Amino acid sequence: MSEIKTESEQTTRAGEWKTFLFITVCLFPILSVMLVGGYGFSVWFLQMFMIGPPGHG
Amino acid sequence: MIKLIKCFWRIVSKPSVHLSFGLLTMGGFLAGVIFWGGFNTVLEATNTEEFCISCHEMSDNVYVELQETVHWQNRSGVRATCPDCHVPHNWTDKIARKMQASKEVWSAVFGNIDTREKFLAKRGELAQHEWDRFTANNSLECKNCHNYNSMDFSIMSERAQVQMKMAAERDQSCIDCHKGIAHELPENMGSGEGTLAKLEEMATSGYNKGQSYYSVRQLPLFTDNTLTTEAGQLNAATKVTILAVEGDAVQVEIDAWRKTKGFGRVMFEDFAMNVNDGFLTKEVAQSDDYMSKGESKVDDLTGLPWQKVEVKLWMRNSSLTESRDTLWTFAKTTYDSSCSVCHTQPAENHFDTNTWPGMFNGMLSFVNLDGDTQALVLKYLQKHSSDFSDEAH
Amino acid sequence: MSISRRSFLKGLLATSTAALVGPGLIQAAHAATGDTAGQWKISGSHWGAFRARVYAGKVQEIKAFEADKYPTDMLKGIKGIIYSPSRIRYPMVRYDWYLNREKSDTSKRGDNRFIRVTWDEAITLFHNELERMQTQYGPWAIHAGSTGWRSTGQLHSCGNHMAHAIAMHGYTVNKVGDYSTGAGQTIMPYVLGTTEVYAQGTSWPLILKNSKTIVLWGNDLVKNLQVGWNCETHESFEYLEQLKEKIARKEIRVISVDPVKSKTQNYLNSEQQYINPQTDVPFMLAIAHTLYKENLYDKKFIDTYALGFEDFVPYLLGESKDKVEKTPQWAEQICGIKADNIREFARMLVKERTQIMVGWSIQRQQHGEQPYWMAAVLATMLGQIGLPGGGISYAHHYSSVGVSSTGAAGPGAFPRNPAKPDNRIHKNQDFKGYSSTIPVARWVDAILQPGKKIQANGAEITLPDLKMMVFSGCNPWHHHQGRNNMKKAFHKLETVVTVDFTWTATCRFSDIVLPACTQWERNDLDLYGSYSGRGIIAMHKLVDPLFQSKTDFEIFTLLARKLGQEKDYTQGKNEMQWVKELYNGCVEANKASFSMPDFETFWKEGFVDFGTGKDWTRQAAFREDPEINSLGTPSGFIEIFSRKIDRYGYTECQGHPMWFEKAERSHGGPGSDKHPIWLQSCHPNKRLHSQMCDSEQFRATYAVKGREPIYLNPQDAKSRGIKDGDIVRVFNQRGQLLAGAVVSDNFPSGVARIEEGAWYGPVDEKIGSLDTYGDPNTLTIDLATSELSQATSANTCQVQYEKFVGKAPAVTAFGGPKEIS
Repeated sequence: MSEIKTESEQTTRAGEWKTFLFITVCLFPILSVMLVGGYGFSVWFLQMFMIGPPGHG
Repeated sequence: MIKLIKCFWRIVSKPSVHLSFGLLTMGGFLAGVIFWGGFNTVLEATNTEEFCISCHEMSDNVYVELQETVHWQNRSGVRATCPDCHVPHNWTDKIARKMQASKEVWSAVFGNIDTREKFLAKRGELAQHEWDRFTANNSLECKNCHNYNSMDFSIMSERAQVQMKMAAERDQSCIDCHKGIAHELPENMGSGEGTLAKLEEMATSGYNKGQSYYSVRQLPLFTDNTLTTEAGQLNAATKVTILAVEGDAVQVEIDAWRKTKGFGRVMFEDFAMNVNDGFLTKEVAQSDDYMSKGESKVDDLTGLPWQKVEVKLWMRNSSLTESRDTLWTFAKTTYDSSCSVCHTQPAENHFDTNTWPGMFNGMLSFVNLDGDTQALVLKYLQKHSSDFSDEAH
Repeated sequence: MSISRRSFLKGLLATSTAALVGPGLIQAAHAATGDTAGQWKISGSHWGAFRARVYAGKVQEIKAFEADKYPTDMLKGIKGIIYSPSRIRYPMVRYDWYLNREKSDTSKRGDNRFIRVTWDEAITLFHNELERMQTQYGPWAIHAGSTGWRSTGQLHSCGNHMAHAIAMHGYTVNKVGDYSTGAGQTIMPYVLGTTEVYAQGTSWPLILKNSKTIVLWGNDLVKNLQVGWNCETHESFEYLEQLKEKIARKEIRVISVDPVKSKTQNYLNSEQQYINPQTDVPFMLAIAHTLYKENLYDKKFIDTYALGFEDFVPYLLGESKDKVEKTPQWAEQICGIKADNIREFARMLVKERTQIMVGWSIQRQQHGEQPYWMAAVLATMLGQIGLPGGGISYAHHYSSVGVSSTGAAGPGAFPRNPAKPDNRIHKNQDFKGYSSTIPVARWVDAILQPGKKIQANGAEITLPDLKMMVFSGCNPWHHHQGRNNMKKAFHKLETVVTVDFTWTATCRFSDIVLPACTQWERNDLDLYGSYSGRGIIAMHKLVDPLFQSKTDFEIFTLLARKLGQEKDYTQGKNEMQWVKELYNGCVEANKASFSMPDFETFWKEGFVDFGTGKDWTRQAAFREDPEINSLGTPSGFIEIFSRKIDRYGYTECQGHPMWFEKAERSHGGPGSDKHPIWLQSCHPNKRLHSQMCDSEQFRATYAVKGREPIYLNPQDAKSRGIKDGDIVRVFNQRGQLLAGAVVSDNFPSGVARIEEGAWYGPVDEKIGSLDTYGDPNTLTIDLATSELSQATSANTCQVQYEKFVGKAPAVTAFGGPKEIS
């Protein structure tokens, strides 16, 4: 299918740089925070409804 | 917008054309390091006292109260900051707690406790959250610093020795007794209530089905789990077995004996022993719905017929403790101090169980004990009377 | 609290302006002269609160506290206590004991020859003896538990100091009960569920409003309410005054059942039902018989509130073992009241609301349990227990019982128990089979017959082999019966230590005597009103301790220092720090209901007023709901028949109240042929037990030719050729004494009175020697009431008396020891 590549599908060097910086500086950090936060929330909700406050050990 | 995402996806989903493998991994790694550093810095920043008291709700209330306590200033110069006690040190629990803080942000935005009055009104609930947490983790945050194994009991005061040794044996949760150690207690639990607060301090929290507990003071009994229809009163230091836990209420069974002269309203701990376990309303005492009746026999010393009953009623899910030892220690201390003001103070085993109520009532005019303490001390004396003294020594 | 201190003082000012004008003006006029110069300080006592003017380090004058509207005459005796020639000046040791210690010639005890030692030496001797007892014998050899009426003040409460310090050293023998109410406090828990003798009673306003008849059974309120266990308020006298008015208006009938016309009867101008001494039970039984036969008793009340009536009735009807029906005719022969009068009396009791008030004298006799029990049975038959102005009480003559309680907490006291019992030096608790606690009045028996087994309140007691006695603020040589028997016992003791401020007969028979100061030579505080809880009174130190005396706190701190536990004893606090702490503890305890000023304000003003409490009816809660508010008896109900006592199998106290003949009784009773006169030794009118007998000027107001008065019936006196003011020799098989005759119509034939507490002053230490001042316990019998209480039987005592001719020996009771140097 390589022969039907179009101009618009070509990646530019600038585009790759922008995307790389976007991912490393914005997207993944935000996703990480959301992930950790989501984990925190899920543990909290679990504590509230299922397992009770954190125990010891 | 859709075009932008499509374009983004195209670049992300394909191998890089212009950027080298080394650059991408190196860049990703560096970004990761910087992110993690930043994340932790922020997390730590929210885990400082400065951060906590940046809200006036904290700095004006609990923070000021802390400054009056030993956890703020002491001769060794060690102090506890807010997160030392209030943020779990375990990572998962810490993150969960941080997320939980969204509630606090919410409250700060809407000003739920932005005045002293609002705070005081809410204190009981807020304190209960922390007490529940401490109860569940067995006062882990306290024990991060205070370790039973490192305590030198011999240099404690006598009463502290007894209490602390007992607590250590059971690895008891610190908060069971030390509520209000760093901040003021909720109003209705204030030390102004004197012995009542002391008695309440002895209560453990979280009761298991099938297990037996003792009441720390006189407690109301109800016929139903909504705790609306009164059924009588449980006396102090009375044994109950938990049959069910439903929300704020627990269903308990009281194994007792009663005299069948009159309505049979008073429950006694054992046959022919006037050790009061509490009383029932006339309706409950006369109804079969709340009790199963056992054997009947006549007490030769009085000629009164007695009957064994198992009473099943509801009560509030609080003010119970696992063992009578702490209650007895408190009662003995009270008896030794309050009752030594007048003539001679008879030893516990000088009278028998059924003689103590009369002797004790006669002594009451000279001392000042509230009803709960009176009931507790009397029961202590009866349970350590000549009828039991061989057992006790 | 609605009444503030300020408004209280204002009210006082308003009500007593008139009274104050006189002295106030004089004070202003003479302000500069020595008559009024000095500083007014406030203090308290068993006789009430007072203000004292102190000038040049000496108490100059004493006047009653303004809030005390009915101060007792005895306040006049207080100065004389402080400056008595009998004051103990220095630590003293009995001469022969000083030379020979425990091998001393104990038959010389009482010769009053003592040598002065330093405090250091005295405490060392005291400590050495305690140490010797614990190591050579054991805890069974020391009795340090006998206590008496002490001086007032919560910090310096002397019994607590003694008990605390001695407990730091080791275990000792203790006592149960007391000399005042031994039988009553033991029997009543079986019958009504409390000691009754120390219980708050129905409030006077309710009695005045509801009672139609008040029976004073051997009860002299006006005499005995002059003193109180804590600082006395005399609030009861206001109601007695109202009662007097109601009697005059014939709204209330008051009848004294008493052989003697009491001070109360003379004050109230009320009626008397004469009765032969010690025969209350036959009279009561005959009343019960009448109520039963005439069907006048409350059957419903008995069914609901009492047990055992059906087991008692056969005795009444003569269907039990003794086969004697307790009819009024039967009783008449014994109690001297006409059968018809007995019936009338019974009918009168049920007619209207009747309050029975029993005194303590009728239980201070052989079988003293019986009249108390039988009176409760009578009250049960009347069915008025728990009604305002009805029922029965056993304490309305004591410490303002019947004045409603404010509910305020009083100040605590210096603790009786050590804070660190584990630090006790001698941990030996082996009593070698002897009992560690004995009935209070049986310690002399213990010394004389160690190892003897006696029955007491359901238990078997083995009397310990006592070698050493320690007394503090306690005078057994006044309150125990039978002086000559005591002398025999004291010959067997190795060591006796006494702490007191005045040279009582107990000091005379001791080996080591330590001088305490009086309560007015130390700072303290006290509850104002034992039962009413009217307030807190400051007790300012009026003057510094006289001679070498020290406070009890200091004395036992010295002993604690010997034990290496001084810090544990004082808890690092000095006298004023203790007083302040006791006060602050009281503030804390009252926080919820009474606001109290800070300590400095209190100490300056001298008084905190809690106002007055709410009226209250005794046993009303029980009457309302006998199940929930059950009594403290084994069954929770009134026990007319006690199966528990019945089980003990005693002969002199059985399952229900009974009549037992006494060992000695007047009016034809046993022993009356030889010694026809019944000697009553009731609580004194001008003293508190033996306290204040050493107050010279005040004693002179009532003594007769320097001797204690004996009150005599005019015919009895005349037939023996005795006139008012004569010296009389009173004697029986147990002893002899001299007393001064006061002939009075108040006393019937065959009855004489010497008030207890008169100091013992024998001519020499020999057994049987003549007592020169008139201590009635020279003549009384050391006999237990019964196997139940083992209490004192002081009022079972027959004597004979004659005019004393010749030169009477000088009174030896006062003035301290003969100092040997």
